[in-house]
Amino acid sequence: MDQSALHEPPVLDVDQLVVDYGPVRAVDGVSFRVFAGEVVGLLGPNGAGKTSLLSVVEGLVAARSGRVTVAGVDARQHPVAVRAQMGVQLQQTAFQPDLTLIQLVRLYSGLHGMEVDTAAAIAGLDRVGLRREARRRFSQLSGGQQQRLALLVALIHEPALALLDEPTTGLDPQSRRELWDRIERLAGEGTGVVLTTHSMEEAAALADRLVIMHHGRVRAAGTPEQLVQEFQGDPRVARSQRGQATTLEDVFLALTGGAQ
Amino acid sequence: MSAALPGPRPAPSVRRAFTLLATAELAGMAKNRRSLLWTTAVPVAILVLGVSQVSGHASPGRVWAIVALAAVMGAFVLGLVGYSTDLVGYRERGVFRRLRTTPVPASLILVVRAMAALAAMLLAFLVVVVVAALAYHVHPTVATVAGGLGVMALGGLSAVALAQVIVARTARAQSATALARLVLMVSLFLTGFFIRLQVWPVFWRHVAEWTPVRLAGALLVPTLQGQPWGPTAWHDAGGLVAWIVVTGVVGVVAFRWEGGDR
Repeated sequence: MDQSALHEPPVLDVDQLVVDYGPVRAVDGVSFRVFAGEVVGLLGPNGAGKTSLLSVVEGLVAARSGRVTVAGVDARQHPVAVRAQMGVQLQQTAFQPDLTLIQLVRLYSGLHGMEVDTAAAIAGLDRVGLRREARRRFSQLSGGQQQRLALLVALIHEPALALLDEPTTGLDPQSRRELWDRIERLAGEGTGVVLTTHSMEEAAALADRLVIMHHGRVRAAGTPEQLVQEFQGDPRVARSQRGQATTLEDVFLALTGGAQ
Repeated sequence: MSAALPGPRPAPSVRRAFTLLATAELAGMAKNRRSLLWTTAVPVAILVLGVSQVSGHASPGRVWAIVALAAVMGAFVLGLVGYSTDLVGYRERGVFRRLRTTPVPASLILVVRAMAALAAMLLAFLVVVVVAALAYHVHPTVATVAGGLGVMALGGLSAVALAQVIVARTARAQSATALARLVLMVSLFLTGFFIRLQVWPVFWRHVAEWTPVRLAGALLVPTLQGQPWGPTAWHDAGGLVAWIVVTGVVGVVAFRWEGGDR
């Protein structure tokens, strides 16, 4: 990422966020920032609090305490204005099942304040390899195709901040690489990206910085190289390490209890 | 690369968002053949069956009574079963979650769903009236049809409001369908559809008088016949409004955007 972006206000600022579901604390005092053009990877095992954290940023879940600002706008006070700045791909891909892909692209881009005609919708679908399916209904798509549509819809309005929750789940290797290219291009154009993934390969390939979460808390944060360097002498990592060299996966497993 | 932020894009106006959502709802309804069947074929079938049960030539008054029954039953099938199942299905599949990540007021999403269901009910009513006029030689006037649309709007809203309570109390589409069907059957039973009300105990007759299906049906018959509303009709209209307000408030207050067992 462009280092000059670090001197500008962050596109996402999460400060001491706490999320409770009844008696269960899902997110416990998490803070991190994302700058323009930066890709931040959120890593953590299932139940670590990644999706809960994103849900607060997306305005879907209310936080118990803490503050979220997007491009300088308080998410709690101005949720509609904040959502206008965001592109969201949810973990569970769901659209109106009876609408065609063209209708869906036009609907969701319109809801983000961007008018898209049929030709532009087809051009967008072409970019994600769905041109032939343009007039098919969403319910007729395969899982991977649904995922590609979800990504197109999330990013078509060129948001300042993109929240991508496990975007490559269910994609074949070709589509996954295309998606990686797309995310890199997006960041190159100045969009801040938050990405959750279970793939260490993906995290290392895409993310400028990683935030490792476990039991709702941040266990470590830094670039992939910094994390490996910082923890390579750690006895927990030594226990989980399988090869000669310490890998990001070794660090992740050690920090999240996977090797115990 | 440039670190400049992609330009802020303003959220669409409420009117624009309403148009987009309503267009999508109606397009989805038009493509859903099962929904179309429920919307139009069921009331027409009830009309045809109802008139065929009349021995000899059905008088216009009798035909209008059957039109009212068919339209109201169709509206409640669509409003109670169709609306609640669709809404819980949207929530279950995550469509609401997806819509709520857009810069559109969440309440607008619900309003558009309810209005689309209402529009479908009014369309079904018009279809039944046209079929009745063509097949059974009754002659509706613009005033009676307009009055009928008004009554159907009240009846339809009461069905949607009742469905909203079902949506609030169920987590899964299957449970919503089952509960909505149960409520529908009880409502139909209480209209005297299966056993004439005259033979019921007095208490249950009073209960039956206040069900939304009966209230809407009782209000629609004189309206379609072009008769002025007397005290009984105003009593029925008041009853329907009360149903809409009470169940609407309960349904909206108890509504949850996110699924999960409760």
